[in-house]
Amino acid sequence: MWLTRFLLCALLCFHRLFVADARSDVYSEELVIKRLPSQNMAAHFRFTTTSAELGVHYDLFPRVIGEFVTTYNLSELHLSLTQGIWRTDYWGFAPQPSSPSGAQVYAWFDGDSSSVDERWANLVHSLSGFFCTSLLQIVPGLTARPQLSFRPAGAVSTGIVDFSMGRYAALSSEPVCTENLTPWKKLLPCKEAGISSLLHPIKFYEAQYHSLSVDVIQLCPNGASTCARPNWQVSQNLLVVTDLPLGSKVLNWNLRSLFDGEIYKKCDLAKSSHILAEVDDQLNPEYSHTPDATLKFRDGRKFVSFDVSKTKLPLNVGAKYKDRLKVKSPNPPSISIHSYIGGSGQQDGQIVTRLVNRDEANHRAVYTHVIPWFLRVYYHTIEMDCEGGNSNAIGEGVIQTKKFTPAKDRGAPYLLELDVNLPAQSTCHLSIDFDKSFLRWTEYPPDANKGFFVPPPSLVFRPTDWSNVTVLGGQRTTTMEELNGAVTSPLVVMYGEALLVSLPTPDFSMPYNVICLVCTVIALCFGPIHSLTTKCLLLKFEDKDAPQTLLGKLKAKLMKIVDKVRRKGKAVESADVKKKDEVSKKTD
Amino acid sequence: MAEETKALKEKRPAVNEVEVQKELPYRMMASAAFILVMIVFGLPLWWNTTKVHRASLPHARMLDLSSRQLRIPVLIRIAYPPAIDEKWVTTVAEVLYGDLQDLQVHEKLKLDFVVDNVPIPSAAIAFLGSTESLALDFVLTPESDWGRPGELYFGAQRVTLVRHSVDTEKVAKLIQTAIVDVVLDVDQLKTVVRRDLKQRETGWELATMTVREQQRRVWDSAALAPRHRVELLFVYPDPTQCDAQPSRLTALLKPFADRLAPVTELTLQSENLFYVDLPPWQRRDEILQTDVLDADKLPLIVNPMERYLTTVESTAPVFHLLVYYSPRPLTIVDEEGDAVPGNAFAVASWGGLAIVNNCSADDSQLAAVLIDQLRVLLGLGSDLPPRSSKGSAPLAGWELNRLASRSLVDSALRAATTLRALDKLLGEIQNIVIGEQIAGRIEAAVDALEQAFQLMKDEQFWPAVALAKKAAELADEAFFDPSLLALLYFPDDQKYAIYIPLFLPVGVPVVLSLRAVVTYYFKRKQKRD
Repeated sequence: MWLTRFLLCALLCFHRLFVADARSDVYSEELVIKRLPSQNMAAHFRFTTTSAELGVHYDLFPRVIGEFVTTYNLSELHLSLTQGIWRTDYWGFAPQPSSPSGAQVYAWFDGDSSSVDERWANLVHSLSGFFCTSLLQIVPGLTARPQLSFRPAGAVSTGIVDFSMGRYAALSSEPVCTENLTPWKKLLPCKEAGISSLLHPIKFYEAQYHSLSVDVIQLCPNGASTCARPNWQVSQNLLVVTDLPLGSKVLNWNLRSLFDGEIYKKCDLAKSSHILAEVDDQLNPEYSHTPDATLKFRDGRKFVSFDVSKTKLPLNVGAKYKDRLKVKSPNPPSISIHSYIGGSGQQDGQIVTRLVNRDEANHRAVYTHVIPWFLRVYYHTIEMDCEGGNSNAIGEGVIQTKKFTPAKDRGAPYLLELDVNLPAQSTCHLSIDFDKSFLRWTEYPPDANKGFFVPPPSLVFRPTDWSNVTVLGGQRTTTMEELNGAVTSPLVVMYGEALLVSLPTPDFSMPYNVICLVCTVIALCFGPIHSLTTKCLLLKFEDKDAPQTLLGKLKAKLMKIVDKVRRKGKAVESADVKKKDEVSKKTD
Repeated sequence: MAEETKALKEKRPAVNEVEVQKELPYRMMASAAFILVMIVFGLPLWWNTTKVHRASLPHARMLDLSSRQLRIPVLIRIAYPPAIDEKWVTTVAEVLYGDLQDLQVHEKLKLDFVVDNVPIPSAAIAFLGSTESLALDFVLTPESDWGRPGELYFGAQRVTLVRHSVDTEKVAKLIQTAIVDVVLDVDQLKTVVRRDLKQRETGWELATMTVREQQRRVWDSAALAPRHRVELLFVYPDPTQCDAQPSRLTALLKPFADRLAPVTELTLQSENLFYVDLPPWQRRDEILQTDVLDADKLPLIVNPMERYLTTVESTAPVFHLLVYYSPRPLTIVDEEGDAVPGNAFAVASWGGLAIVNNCSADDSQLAAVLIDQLRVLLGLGSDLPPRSSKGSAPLAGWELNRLASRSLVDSALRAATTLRALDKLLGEIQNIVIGEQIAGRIEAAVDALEQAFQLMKDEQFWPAVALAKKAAELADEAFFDPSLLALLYFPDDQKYAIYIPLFLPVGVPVVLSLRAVVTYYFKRKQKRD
């Protein structure tokens, strides 16, 4: 009976097997190589896997990510780990999705809103375990619920964003290294073939900037904001900016020099597999593999595209330059953000963010800052002063909306969200005052004098000029798709600098000092009172014969003891004599 | 001058003696007041500020559970056709009952047998219906209807067919063998009990074991968990030659998992692994004309494959079943050089590997191989006695019965052991915190286990299995809860360093005055006497 049932089932399955498509998941990979305005090379890897359904069988979609989504009922998940800082002034806008220094996690949940905190805590534990990171301290002390920024990038099941379902946290002190890259690489369907064969950690971790991220979003056909059965998309981004060749001054590059490897094997699972290099005409480069390359244009930018699946292997794309390196002065993009700590001393300070708009037009932007609870900020001190070219635009009302969530000690950070208007050609200083709080002595890290990290503020805006965008593509689209005409997400997220605040560091021998002090105080207070109340005070007469000096006293004592011993000896002797006497008497 | 001081000296004691005698009772009362304040306020304060929070626990019940003997009710039903005389069957039942009464399992485990004989028409209803008790069903089949080799046939459901013969002793012996060796496998139950009680086999016992028995010890080294994860990994070393098809294997394994659900919950998931190859231990075999993988090389396959496996979001034990789609024919051969049936192997409490040649797998055949692997991993395999045969089914009813009885023993003993261990641990390590939530879990575990024991007494086997599983899970949750460790690493010396300065300057004078008070009291008493 069982066998027949199995056979029946098997027959049914075979039927389905031939009817269904050969591949349910779609995987595409691309590598964009670009010379930044500062002459550094930037390489942006983007691996995208889309699946129609998560649950029992995983074809190309990473199973662990699918389990995170189904176990915690996620609607969206973003994790990024970054070493170094993206220098907007030198390099232009950060490729999207961008990430702050250190770690950043944010997620949007579905389902029951009362269990979100618990699910978030468990998710953070799971991510920590899987990616070998130490994110645990973000729960709950560094977790915020943003409303204006970090909104879902993909489709939402209900169609409306419920703010109680989102959680955001950033941890700037988190270092990134190979132990994070290994599990990240494990998520790829092609681990050792195609573009992923260029992922060698040594070159990445000697670079100036290195960032890896995992973004899981839901996508609806035609970009709708909600639909019945959205597709799940996981995009894995890895961004590297190499150092300038200051010694050799040679600008030539190829895959081997950049990543210590070539592509020997193509990934047959990828629907598209491209290497794109943006042409920088002013330096007259010559690209290798030219017969295989196609040219693509977008917004006046020119790209050389290599299709890995069609090119002759091994593939080592490169460019040769006639010019040599000339270090350039920075040419900052239209908008930039910088943050720093003002004030001095151990008691208070000020967080200042400089927002510069070099554009001819005003810009609306959302400024978000998550400030840990140990900096006690004052809401009334939020101030935004603008100065600059077009004086008409400057004045009141530059802050359109303020959203401020107060912190809870050890429970939640401050969240400051400002909808600001940046006047044309202006420099604005946004400041907020804070007091430094005292922590418990166990809350200090072993290197307490290093200071405490404050995550960087972020700025979300809609740029008018896309030539400033370093790498095309965003949360929902790849560079290749955009070159083929897809419309990108209109928003750019950029981050300021992570801040390091030194909090008043206690003397860690303090508990022992306290013990000594308390001991002394109690002994001093209690001892005399106890003695006075329980002991009799007697009048003592001075013995003038007694020795006055210490030595004299000791000598006297010693003599006393000697005396005692001698007396005892005598007593024994006399006893012996007595005994003898008795004996003699008896004999008598 | 000297005379003057001498006079003073002589005068002094008299004055002081009077003063002291007058003052002393008050001084002693003051000392007593200090002592009283210290005892009434100081000591409770010290106690309350340094004690570790412990919610109240049912210690006596926790200990009592571990000392109880596990008594599993077993209902044996013997059905007989009208052709066989009822009295004859009664004699068989009596002989069987007598034999089974002498069966010694373990001091911790006793099987309470009830033998029942039912005529065929009513037996059909009883055997087909569901039952709450652990029912071992036997059908006496007349020689004329037998038509099989041997004397015992273990069916695909609960029923075992027994060949009828005139000798009552022989038939009773047959049924007893079926129960002791196969349907209950008493020896295995004994091993399970000893494993759960951490009673090791002595060298002598190991030496007298057959190879097969030793192997069984390895396979059953891990207790049966209430839930397991089964991860199917389809390994494609070269997707250009072999590409993944949408897999239905999980759907094919689902009925097996559903059937196991009353004993252990299997959660099935599958994923593809591309561009991953087995480590190169294959060799070309000229006789078989294919690439072969020797049995002694199999351990070398598991570790390299382990690094491609990812974690699961669950604390349940995981079985990794790898299906390797070999681009060229590959055969696993045993020590004698023969091809292994199914072309697969299993690794105790890890999982297994099955090889699919030429990229084409018949899903139902593959499912059968995977079910075989799961059966081995779950300890469902059995050695049949001579002259007996077995019906083919992924999971027979009697196998489920047997697994359930093992699961009951495992869960009940583990829950009891865990509770006793927790009780002992709390006695030994004073720094363990027991929060209200943990206490609630322990209480629930104790309740569930007591209820399970009660149900076993009432011959409600299956509900007892479910409750014992629940008790084991709750006890484990309580035992492994991280909150227990909250203060474990708070060193005692720090505690003393903080409290001693408060109490040493106070304690030493108070103790000294206590001595003074006591001596004063005794002296006065002496004086009065």
